[in-house]
Amino acid sequence: MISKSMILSLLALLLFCTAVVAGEDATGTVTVVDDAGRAVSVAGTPQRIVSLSPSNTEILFALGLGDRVVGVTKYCNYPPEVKELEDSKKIGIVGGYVDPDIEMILSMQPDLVLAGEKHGSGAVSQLDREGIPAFIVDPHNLSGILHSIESVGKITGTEAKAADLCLQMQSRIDAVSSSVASLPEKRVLYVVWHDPVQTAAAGTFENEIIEKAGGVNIFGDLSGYAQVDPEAIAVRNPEVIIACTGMGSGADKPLLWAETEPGLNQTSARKNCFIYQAQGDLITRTGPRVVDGLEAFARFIHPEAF
Amino acid sequence: MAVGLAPGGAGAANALSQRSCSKYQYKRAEGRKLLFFFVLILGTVLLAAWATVQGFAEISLADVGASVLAKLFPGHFHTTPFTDMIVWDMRLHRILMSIGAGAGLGLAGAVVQGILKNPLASPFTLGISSAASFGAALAIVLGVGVAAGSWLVIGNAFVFSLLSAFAVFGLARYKGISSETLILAGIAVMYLFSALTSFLQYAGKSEQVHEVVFWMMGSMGRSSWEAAGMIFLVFALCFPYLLVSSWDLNAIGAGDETAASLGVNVEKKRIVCMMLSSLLTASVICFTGTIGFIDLVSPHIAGMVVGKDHRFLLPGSALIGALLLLAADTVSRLIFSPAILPVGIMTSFVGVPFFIYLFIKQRNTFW
Repeated sequence: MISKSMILSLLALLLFCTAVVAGEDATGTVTVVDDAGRAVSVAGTPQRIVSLSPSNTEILFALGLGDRVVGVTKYCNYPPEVKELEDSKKIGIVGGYVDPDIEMILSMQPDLVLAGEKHGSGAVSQLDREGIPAFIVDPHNLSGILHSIESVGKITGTEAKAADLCLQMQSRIDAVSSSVASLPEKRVLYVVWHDPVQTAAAGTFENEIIEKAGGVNIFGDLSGYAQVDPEAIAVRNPEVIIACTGMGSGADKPLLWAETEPGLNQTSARKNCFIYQAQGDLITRTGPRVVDGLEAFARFIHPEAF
Repeated sequence: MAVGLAPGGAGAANALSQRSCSKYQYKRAEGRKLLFFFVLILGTVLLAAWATVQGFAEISLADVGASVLAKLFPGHFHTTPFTDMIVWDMRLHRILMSIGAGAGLGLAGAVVQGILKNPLASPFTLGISSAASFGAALAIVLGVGVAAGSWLVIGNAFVFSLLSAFAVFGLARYKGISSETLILAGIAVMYLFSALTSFLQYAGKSEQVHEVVFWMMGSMGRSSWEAAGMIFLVFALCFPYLLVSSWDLNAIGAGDETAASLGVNVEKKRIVCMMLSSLLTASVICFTGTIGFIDLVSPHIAGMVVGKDHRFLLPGSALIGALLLLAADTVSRLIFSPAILPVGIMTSFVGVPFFIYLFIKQRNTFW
């Protein structure tokens, strides 16, 4: 049974933690609260960093920390230097995103591990036991991404660079907002996969990007990633269709579907040829490139504004 | 349906062996079976008609009717391109495919249970479905050329379903066919192929994983006129032979020796029927992904009403399968509209309560 006073004292503790965010004491220990609300401390500036997600890797490289990264996942493919560093054995691969190899991580003797939301119960608690600082990066929206980048800047001792990056990102976001602000919203269908049709609904990054780019998601009334009725697409008549792509073979299939599926013949997107392809990594990876994704979406939805 | 559910649907053979039997009673039992088929066919047709009118796009029965008739008799009916698109490009082929797929699975289940004399046997529990899934997934992940793509996926699914069917068959024969060994062998094979599919998923690229996951979940979202046609074609090719084999299946049900003494080539019959069941299963699974339950349960539901005579059991099981899958898909389409549930979830939700109901009601007359 959790009493009210316990909740209050917890809140007070949280407030206190936030107050001492990035507090640096006399011994040079830096403490930052991560996205899971845990206070993570590192001694001095981390020199051996392991990233457990592609977005974390992108943030670290954007902050100029590429030479301090010692481990990444097998999905980390951006920036291209990552692959070069892997080839020259300067960076090791610690496994996949959901299943990193803890022993491999430990053998790299990191002084900071940047984890994701998925690692909360598994890898992070194991790293905690081993006394290795694990920092969880788990933003839920665009402003959350900026906040996460700032936090990563603080814990890695690159605060100024992070602030600079965030400022740039914010101004690009603002530029998009002001370009599309006065334009009428357009109905957008985002196709995650076509066979059967899956879309990104409320609560996803894709949905927020669509809205920020001056569109309205035709499946904004659903939540998460949902399989949808092709009929509903025809009825809701999207003005713009954006198909997701990944890397490698088969990546163009959703676009091909959007261009050829007879069930879309009557939609205004098909009639006006407003069918586009977006790189899925840009919008689902919560890193600096999300702004590229936003700008791409804005150009797709409101080509007249750019 | 009430008549169909009434107890006393014992097989014709049983009825004849009873002391009190008379020609009159036999005729009555036949009549009840015919009524059962009539009710099932009517039910399927009515449900199909109702499902054609239901959906996210609100189209009236009259408009749907006009759209259907306009295509059949051009020039006499007025319809709009939008209605035509919803009815012809989205609803009709999906409904027909559900009927065909359900019938195929129901028939395959009844045949497999008949030749193996095992109430737990079905393409799903024997690992045939998961093998077909694996075959399809393998074709996708290994990057089959797009042009020949869909045919290769189907072919691969069929080859693997055959492989697993005969692996199970061989394994069970090696130890002597008993119910336990057969199902154990089937489950072992099912796990093997599920593991292989999971491994492919692990090794594959993310876009391919989307497709592989689809094979494992089951969905009617992939329906098309070609797919529905393909499923019906395979069904039409297999059904006559299997129906003609009904007597042989009945004889096998009385024991291999008895069947042999009646002139049935038991081995050959088993192998051919097994191949046709695998083909039926593969032709469905390639388009829908793994759908369990329908194939296991349809023969039982049909058997409770028409008894064990395969002349009635086979078509009955096919009809029950069609009705169940169509009902499941219609519910999965409508319940969270515009979102769609994978049909594999719904087949269990729709089928299990129905099955339990019949099971409780009929426990003394079957098994």
